Amino acid sequence: MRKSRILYLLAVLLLLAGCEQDLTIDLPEGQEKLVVEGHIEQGAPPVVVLTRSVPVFSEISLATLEKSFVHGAAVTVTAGGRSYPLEEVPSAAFSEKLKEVVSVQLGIPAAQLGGNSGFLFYVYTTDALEGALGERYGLEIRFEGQTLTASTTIPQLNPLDSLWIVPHPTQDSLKTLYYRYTDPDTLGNSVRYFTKRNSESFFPGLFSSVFNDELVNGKSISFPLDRGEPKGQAEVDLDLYSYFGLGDTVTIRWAALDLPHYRFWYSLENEQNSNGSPIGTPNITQSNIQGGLGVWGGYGVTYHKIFIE
Amino acid sequence: MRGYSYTIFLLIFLLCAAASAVAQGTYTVSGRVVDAASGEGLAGAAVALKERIRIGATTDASGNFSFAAPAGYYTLLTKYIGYSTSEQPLQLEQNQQVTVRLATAPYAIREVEVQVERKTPLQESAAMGKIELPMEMIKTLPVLFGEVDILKTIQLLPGVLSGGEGNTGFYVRGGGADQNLVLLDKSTIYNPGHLFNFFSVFNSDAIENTTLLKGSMPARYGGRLSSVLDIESKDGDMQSFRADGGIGLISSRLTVQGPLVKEKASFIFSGRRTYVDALFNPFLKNTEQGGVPYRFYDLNGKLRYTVSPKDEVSLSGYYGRDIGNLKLSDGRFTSDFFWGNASATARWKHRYNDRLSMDVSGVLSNYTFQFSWDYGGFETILQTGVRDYAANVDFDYTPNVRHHLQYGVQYTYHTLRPRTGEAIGETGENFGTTRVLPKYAHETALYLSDDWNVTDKLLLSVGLRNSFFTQTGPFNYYRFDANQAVTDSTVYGSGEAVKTYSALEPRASLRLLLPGSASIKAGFTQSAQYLHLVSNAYTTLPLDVWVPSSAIVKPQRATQYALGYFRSLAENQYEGSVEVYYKDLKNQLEYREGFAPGPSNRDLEYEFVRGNGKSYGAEFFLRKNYGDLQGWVGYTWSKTTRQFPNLNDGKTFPARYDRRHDLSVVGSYRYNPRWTFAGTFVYGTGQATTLPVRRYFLEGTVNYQYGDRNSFRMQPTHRLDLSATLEAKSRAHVASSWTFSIYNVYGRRNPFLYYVDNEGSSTSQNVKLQAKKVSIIPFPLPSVTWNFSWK
Repeated sequence: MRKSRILYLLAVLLLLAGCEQDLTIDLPEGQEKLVVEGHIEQGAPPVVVLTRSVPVFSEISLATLEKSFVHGAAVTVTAGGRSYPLEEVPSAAFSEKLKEVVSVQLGIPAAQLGGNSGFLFYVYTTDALEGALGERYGLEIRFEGQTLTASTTIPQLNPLDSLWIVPHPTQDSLKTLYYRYTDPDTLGNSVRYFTKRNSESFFPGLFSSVFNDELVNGKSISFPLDRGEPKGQAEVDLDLYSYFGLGDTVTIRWAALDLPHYRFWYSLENEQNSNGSPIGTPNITQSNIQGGLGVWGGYGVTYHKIFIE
Repeated sequence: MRGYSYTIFLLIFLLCAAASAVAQGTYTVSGRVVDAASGEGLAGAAVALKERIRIGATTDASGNFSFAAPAGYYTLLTKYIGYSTSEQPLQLEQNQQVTVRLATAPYAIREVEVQVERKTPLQESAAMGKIELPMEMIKTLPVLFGEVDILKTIQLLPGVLSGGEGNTGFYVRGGGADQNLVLLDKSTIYNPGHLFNFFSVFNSDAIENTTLLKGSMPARYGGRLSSVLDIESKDGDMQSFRADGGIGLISSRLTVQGPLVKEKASFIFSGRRTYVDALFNPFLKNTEQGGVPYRFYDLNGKLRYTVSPKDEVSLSGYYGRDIGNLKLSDGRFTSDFFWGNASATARWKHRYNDRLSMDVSGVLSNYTFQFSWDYGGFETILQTGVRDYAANVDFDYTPNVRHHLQYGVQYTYHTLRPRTGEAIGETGENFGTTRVLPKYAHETALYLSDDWNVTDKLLLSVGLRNSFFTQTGPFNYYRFDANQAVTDSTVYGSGEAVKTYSALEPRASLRLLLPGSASIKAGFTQSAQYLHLVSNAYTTLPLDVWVPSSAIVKPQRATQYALGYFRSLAENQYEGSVEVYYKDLKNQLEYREGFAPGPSNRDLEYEFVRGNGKSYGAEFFLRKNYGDLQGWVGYTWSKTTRQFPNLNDGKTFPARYDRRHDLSVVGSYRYNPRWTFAGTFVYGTGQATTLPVRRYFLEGTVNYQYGDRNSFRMQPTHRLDLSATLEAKSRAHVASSWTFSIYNVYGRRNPFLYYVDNEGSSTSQNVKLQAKKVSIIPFPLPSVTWNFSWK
């Protein structure tokens, strides 16, 4: 389960003899594709962010970010034989509940979703539908002659059994969080986890946020749970990595996923972890969207809290 | 530009040296060959220069001889039936008088070939794409960290591409990394690399001969599509004890050899051990690890016993290991790992008569990889490996001068241990890849080949190999649903045949001698490969898995056509060739799109997709074999593509090792008896790679949309390496030398891989994207090695 991290560490050793250099290269523009970032979880409306891919080295600014949103697409979610058309809503018009859902599901600080934050964001959603456990949800998007389709489920909940704390061998202020989890006796159960300290946002596990029961089907396991951290950090502080601090109130968001949804995050994290590693394995994120990129994924979520003392 | 001026300097240097070699005078060597005991002249003894074997003479009735040769430093080789062969240095700067004293061989008179061995001129042999490399030459070439490495030397030959900077991996004529058969004394070496392939497992001190076959593979070789690298280990000295060794920057070597029973039995043992740990430690002083507890070593040994003039038995073995451990996160993560090959070969060579001989061998080969770690009380073991038991009976029969037959039968029992993992938790809970089990297979081949001298000019070499491969149980053939749950399975019991494949593999080549030391050769080869290794990392890794052909995977097949013109000049001093080839590959394997390696309870074979490949090219080779200046220039133009229905939308794409141009210039110049200089220069078209063309944000961070598979080219690679070898003043029993070398003289930053790095997130609006080039050794790397020889 920790293999990607071991490869990463070996790569670090190998790189000691090697060297990195910035490079200016011309990349072909490639074909623009539509990108879906959509989720549905129990008791919450479906939320779909629709953007388009842009050339790798094209300018990054608020303006270009806003331009990447796809407006006016026909987005429909189907469930239980019924179709629910989704409507586009700008972040300025988000209800408090929608703000909360978007913030937690997509990892955007709630403060940025306010009307005057200067940060622009659009989602397709509907008030007519709330996710329910065990349901399958189809997604269809039509835009300028393109059709994207996907399907996901909200699996039954697979909550944690317990959480506890193990002290750091030398530093009193750092603690390792352990979890115990009992896997149901059916194959294919998968989980994505996020952690939140005090009033921070939820962050998924940094190197690996997903688990699958292929090797632990129907069994109970105890394992350390690494603290989630924001992605895209220039350098990860390995002295603090994975630990929680004394006095933290920690909330775990423990979300059951179906297999295609699991495979999306698993392959995405694998791609990110081995990007640039000479002994890594270049691989391409396995999307569950037909005709596009990204993910349409259901979450069956339980929350667990522990105070670090 | 700094780099190019060095290159030009080297070329000028080599040209000047060549000119001086041509301009030298000719002198006469004359003398007498006598019996050391009686002083009587020996009639009919063969005397020749070892370096230019065509120059020499046979002694007359009173033992006298005389011949002329260009000035130079030579070894005078004298052979006579019933006497020990003599080699003595000859410094030819003026007319020379020599007396050669031959001692009688103390054992029963054996028939010794009067014709001294000499390298068959390139144009006369039937083989195409066959290159032999003498160890003496290899040893003078500049090398990384001063470690002489035959796998890196063969990369300098046309048609052979290197696996990357400092890497021992190689690709032959568009074939994959798993398509090279690497044999050490008939034993297959499944992973010939140490330390992520920076070094090969072959200790140069323990190797006698290396032959690379990349074209028309004789029928006695099989099981791989692209090439055979046949390595023979050294025999121990039957006459006297000696020790050779060396101390280098990263390793030390020691070889001892000598007679067990004089003239009848000998032994040789070689060992090599690295101190990479010590080398890297200064760089890691401030890290948690504090150093690299990593090392590798190799042990080679051989016992040889001449039972009778007609029988010889030998026992040889190899054992090598990479070993290390890691400790991280204040000891919360600890791991131990090792990998390595072991092989043993027992061999009996029997000569029935002058025309018929037999070679019987029993072989064991084993490769093991194991990585175990403890994290948070969870103990996990990951392992993989291959074990072969093999037996071969090979015959060599020359019924008359027109025919040379080789035939035999070869059998191997394979046990392939896939990558399995097992974990034990603190409370004793146990998890593992219980469905992933070892696979078993029998591989058998019968072969017959005939080198038929149809006329004095036309040599036709035809061969047929019939190979059989049977996967046997215990084996469970699973079918899965979308949730990876088993929907159906077929269970095969122990020893039960699961799937049998067979292939007829015809081999044919012809050689037509043309006037003026030239020839034309043409070859046709079909081959089958039953074991596969699929890797989609940038380099093959020790944890890569060999899998057999089975109910899930079909054998790989190849057909190769080749045509060549060969010519030697100036008494075989120079030889040159032009070869063109076309190769068609079927049932090639790659990982499916989107496959991410990880622990799985499914056999890896279910993650493969199948497709075809094609490669064609032209290879140019010019080599100078003898004299103070030796070396070669090799150039390859080639194109290699793959086409898989389930990759790259079914569109044809370049193979990762598709390289349009590949040039190697290799030279070694003996300036005087003490100093030898050598240099190599390589140039290759940039590697094909897949890069992102577009990007998008998910959860605020950058993700990529990739372009067509291998559609992007990295910068070309080129590099100059130089070395100088100084023979120390010889003393009574000890000879020693220093080799100084500089790898990557002008510090070229050759690309190993490209990637687009990103940091920041869209929510904090601090996203940065930067293309990066990773180089492995982007600076001049000097090294020094001290070698000694004690007699």
